[in-house]
Amino acid sequence: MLIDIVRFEWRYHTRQISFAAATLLFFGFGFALTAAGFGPANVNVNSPYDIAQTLGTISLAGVFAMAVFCANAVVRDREYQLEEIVFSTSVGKFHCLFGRFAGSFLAAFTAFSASALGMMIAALIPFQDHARIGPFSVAPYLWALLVIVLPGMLVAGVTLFGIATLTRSMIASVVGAVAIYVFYFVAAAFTNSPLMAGSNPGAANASAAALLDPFGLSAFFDQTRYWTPITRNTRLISLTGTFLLNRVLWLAFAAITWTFVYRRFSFRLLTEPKRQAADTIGDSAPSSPYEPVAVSLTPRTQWRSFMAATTLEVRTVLGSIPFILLTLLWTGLAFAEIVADVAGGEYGAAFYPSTGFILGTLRQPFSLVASIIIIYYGAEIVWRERAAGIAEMLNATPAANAVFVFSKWIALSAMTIVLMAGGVIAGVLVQWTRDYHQFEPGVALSFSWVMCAPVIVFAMAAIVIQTLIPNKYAGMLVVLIIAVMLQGGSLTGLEHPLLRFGATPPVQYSAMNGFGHFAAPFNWFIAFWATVGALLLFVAAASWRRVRGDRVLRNSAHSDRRLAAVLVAAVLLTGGFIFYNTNVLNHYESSASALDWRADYETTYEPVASLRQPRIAAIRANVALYPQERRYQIDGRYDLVNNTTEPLGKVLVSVRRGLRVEAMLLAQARLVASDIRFGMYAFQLDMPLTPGQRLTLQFSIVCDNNGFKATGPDNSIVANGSFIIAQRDLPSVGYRKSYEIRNPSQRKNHGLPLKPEEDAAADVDLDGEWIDLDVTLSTVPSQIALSPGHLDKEWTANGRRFFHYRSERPIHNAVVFSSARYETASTTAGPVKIHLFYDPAHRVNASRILKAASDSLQQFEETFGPYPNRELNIAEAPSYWSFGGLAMPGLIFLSESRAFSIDARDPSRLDLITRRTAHEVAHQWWGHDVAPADAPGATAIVESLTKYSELLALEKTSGRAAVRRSLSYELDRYLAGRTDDKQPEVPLARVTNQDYLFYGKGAIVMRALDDLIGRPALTRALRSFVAEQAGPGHSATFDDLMRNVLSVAPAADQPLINEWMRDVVLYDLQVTSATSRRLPDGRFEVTMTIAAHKSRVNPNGLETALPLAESIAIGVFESDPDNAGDDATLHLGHHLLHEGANSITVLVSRQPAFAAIDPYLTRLDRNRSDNVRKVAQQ
Amino acid sequence: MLTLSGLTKTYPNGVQALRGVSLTIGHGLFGLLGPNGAGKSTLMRTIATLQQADEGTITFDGEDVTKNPGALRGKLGYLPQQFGVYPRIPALQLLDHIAVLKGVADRRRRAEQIDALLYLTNLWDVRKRAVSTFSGGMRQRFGIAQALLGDPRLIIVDEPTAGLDPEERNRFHNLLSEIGENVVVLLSTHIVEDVSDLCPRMAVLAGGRVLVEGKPADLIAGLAGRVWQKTVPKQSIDAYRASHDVISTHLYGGQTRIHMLADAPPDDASAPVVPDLEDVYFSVLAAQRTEAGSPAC
Repeated sequence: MLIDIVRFEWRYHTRQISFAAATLLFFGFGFALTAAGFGPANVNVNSPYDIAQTLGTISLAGVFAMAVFCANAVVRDREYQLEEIVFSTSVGKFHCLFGRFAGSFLAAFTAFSASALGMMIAALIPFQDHARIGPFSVAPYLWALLVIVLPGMLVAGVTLFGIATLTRSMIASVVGAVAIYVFYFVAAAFTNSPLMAGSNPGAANASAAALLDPFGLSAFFDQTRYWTPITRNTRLISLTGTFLLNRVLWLAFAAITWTFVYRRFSFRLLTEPKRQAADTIGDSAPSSPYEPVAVSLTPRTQWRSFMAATTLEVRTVLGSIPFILLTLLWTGLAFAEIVADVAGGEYGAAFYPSTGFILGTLRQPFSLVASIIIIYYGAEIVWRERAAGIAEMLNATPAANAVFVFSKWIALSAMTIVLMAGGVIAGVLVQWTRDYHQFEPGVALSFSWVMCAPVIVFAMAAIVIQTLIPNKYAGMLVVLIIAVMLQGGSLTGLEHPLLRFGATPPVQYSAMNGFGHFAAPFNWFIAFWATVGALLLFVAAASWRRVRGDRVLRNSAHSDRRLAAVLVAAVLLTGGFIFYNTNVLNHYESSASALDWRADYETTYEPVASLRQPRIAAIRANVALYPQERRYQIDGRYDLVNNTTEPLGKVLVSVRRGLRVEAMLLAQARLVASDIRFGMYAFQLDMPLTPGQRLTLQFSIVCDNNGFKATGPDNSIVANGSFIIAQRDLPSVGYRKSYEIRNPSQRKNHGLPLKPEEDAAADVDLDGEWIDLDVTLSTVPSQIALSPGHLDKEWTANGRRFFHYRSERPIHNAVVFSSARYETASTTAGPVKIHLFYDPAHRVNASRILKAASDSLQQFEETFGPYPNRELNIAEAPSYWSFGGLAMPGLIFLSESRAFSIDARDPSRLDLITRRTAHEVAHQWWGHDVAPADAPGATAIVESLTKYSELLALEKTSGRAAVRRSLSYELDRYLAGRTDDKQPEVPLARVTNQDYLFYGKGAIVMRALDDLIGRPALTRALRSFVAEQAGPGHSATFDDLMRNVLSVAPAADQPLINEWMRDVVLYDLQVTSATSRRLPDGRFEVTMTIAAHKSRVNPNGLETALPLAESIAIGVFESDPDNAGDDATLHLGHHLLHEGANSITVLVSRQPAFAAIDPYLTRLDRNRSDNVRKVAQQ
Repeated sequence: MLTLSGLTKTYPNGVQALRGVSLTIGHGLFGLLGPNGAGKSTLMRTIATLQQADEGTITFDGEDVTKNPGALRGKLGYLPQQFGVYPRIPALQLLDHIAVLKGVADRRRRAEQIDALLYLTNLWDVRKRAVSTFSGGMRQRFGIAQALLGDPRLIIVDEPTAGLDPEERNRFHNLLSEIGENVVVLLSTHIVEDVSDLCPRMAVLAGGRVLVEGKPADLIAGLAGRVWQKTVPKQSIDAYRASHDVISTHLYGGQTRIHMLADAPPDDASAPVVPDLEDVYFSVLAAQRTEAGSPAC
């Protein structure tokens, strides 16, 4: 009996078109994700890790399959009015419910499993990157389906089946599906799930919150967080620890839910309570008898019909309980998302919840939630008359088809706007809770436009498709496919936004510049899609299923045809205008052909990369900025000098793509080749340039920014917040290494040789080039233009404002020109003047930045040596640039989003503004005073020493506990970073662009050095390193740094220092027990057992144990060391630890609460959570 | 004047719903009688512009409906055989909505007409209640009210009296015949009484064909003296069917009474009866069944 019901249910579902469609869809999902190389780039696409992550991610979409299948299993009786028949049969309650659930779940799970098949096939296709293919095995797929997907799907299935059973309503199940998502995102927001943007590493509550994720993804990431690529490629997720607990918990939840539903379900019809005669009204009957009233069929009455239909549609959808619930759910989700993001800055910093920030946070979730709602309600609203049975009655009225079609579209648009309002309200609530009172209605309106317009255009597609496709669920799937294309169309190869319905170029917001130059292209694209959509709506109107029958009646009247002609013309005009802008005025390039360009550049010019070239010794330039027109012109002159030892005959000059070269002249040389494609100009010198001899290069370049691009604009010159990087935007000499492709698998695809070690980050030129700078910047009168160098003169002429900057001594060649409507503030640090240039909206942090700059400048002068300039300028840069801070000689840029928008009011959080400012100030020594040679280890000099300096400043202002918290982020960055590294981890001495090493490990190792040899000795060594290597003519190496450090270190410590710097070692320290006993004299005796291990990581990724005999700090605290003030430290001292268990006893004067090994993080410990233990009282 | 000529319709599953239906229907009530599955609803929907015929034309007042359905919709009042309504919308509001869609522009006159219709259909007291909560009869009366909105010149009512109690049915009949004086009213039903009570003209539709058309009285007159009645045992019905032209069987007081068609008394026990419309209907159907060679059932 039960088997029969299961079999019937299974057959029923597998014969539906929705089953075939869902199977195909999941197959496609799996195939697309694997084919696109989803997952970390250093892990095989068919590794257990990648398989589990991919299937887990797709299972999120599986929830909707559950909603369709499991809910349909119970709802269809009511829908097809079979309920009374089924309920009166002799089928038992258990058989009926369980059989239907099992059959439908089986069907849904089978459809889902097609994704694994798609993934397998994608891993086997010939064009797959072979470097990311491991040995094939079915086991990891089955294992992931079993332990990750199945429990999560069961939870979703049971929940949705339960909702459907108890309410017998499809929409309630869809609401349930959305609720599961909301729950998931809320849980993910509080964990480390990489699925959530802006998740902060090292949240201490990660494992607790990992339990909350019904899909097990957070628990999966929790278990695998520090797995290395080798482990990820080979090891299956194990059913242990948090992961096991999570799975058991959720299976239990599913079982309990099922039992509950079973008990609550009864074989009775749900009856709507009949309302009694309370609303029968006995007021006066009408006086006049029935008589016909003339009807008129004019455009005016059609318009009235349209208004009436629109009112009815809008009122119906907005007033429906499910939508109200959905809106509330969404508002709750939005609130949770904003709260998580506001407090989710780096190092646990908080942001000011400005209107721009909160709505920026909501962009992604809004487009997701709104799309889902459109997909569902698009079907619901188009099919509503037929479902209600009123279709024939309305279709027999003379109202035009367009009346129905357009009113339904307007209703969907109204829903979108209501959802948007929900998001805005959530944002305002967050603003209130965080005591922030600057709601900006204008910003909210423009965000609403940018967020709603694409959804409203998408709603047109939903209406059109539901009209044309004769099956509601098949229609929903097609609309879903369009949504997926819209979101991730580049995966399908349709990159140009003109090819994807509803797509626009990317739109970025900056507090300084608003939507700025992104607005016009966005509006044009929306206008284009809106006209395309309107045209399609008329097509939908013409084929509106008003008339039953196989042939579609096209009864377009003449006025419709005229309108259609107007629309076609509008589509052609807007589309043509866009195409003219993106493909004629601008060069359109797909990401593949952009990669081809870079590969071709490398193949063509890499052979001459070794050609010795003169260096730039002086830059003189007139830089004319026209921010409103987004145009600039640079007329400049370089002094080139041959600082090699041989004569040079050939000079290569490189100009960035997209710039117009008006003049390019090298004195005493002939232009022998100009390669427009790559912007390369080759000059042959008439007479070879002898060593030490100078030569002048004159150039004039123009940046026009005509029209707009399909792929997003160049942000160097904008209405407010121009930021021109000389290294990128000015001509350079020689081969441009920054054009090279860095991703190893992409290099392989283009037949480029793999580089043994990745090249130094090209964003910062590390190869010390020292120049004299003399620039005149001109801009509009309302703006201030900035450049490194001393401001010699400022004047106004011809309605433009001029600034003349000149370096007073040679500076490191790192030059940026900026121009914006800055407000200014100043302070001093001894004789040094500090000027701050900031956007008026961010006045609140001005004094904090100035104070941090002044304090740290003085502290670093005392510690490392004098600051070489008369002034230090600090300016705000728009968020288009990804950096948090960027230092030029004497000029620092701080990001509007990652520095100026930080809310540092809460003293319990790390003060990110102060540390970021101190960091950039420290770069004046590390990077711009000491400019290292372009060699491995250079970034350790520039960044690790800066991290060390920054922590010195932080310790001075915020105490040791802040250092501890800060270093725990650095340790996490290191541990997480090494698992992501595509290549084996290198020692610090050979670091290039691995930020987890030069920031994360560098900070810890420098603190370890500080701890080992003492701060006076270490700062003495750094001071002598600066004295030896600062200024032009030097190019420091890591060996120079080591020499200075070792010269102050005792001989006994030197092997350990070498090990930290030149080797990869990991520690495992743990407080395994800690007890205290009150002594008769009132003091406390604390006895601790410390387990200690140390191992070396070999270049092949495998580890070998090392002997251990090191003095490591042990602390005993009155309160949690994360927050303990320095006075809460009862004991802090070094103890010699050996491999294995160590017993340590210390005496303290007050009642101890916590014992910690290495409390201030000087060792690279893989698990720092067991380093602190509560002291047990005896 | 509604003229149908040569309407045919075959559904994709092969069912031939209409096989060349031609009718000319003038002012007044026209009854379309037929058994379930005769093609009545297909014909009604086709005339109501909700379905396309494969072949044939429909003209109303000289205008080709197939070419310009919009024009007819402005003059149409349609009560489908089965219909539902939007949930939670009061009768008054829904009538107003449909009236607007029908093109009744004048707000005041629209309100007056709706009030009059609500009164006429005895829905005045419940006009503010959601139609979805109405009982079957109330809902049917609502359907009639909406069909009369505006200025319908052609009223199509498909099985209108299903679910009405006798009193309601009476009211409805009165209403229809009152309105039918100036417009074309097409009434489809499988209840013979409805037609005999109301319709000056009628047609019988079965198997997608018009079997007979005319005035009920003429049709009845055509059977005068040819219908015979006999009470027979249950077991011998099949034998009578084989040997006689049995047009109908009824149970009467537990016994089976059959009507036979014959020019002379079929046997001694048969008594002549005065034919009524039901005899016309059944005789036509019986003739059609014999023609189609399908077994009688």
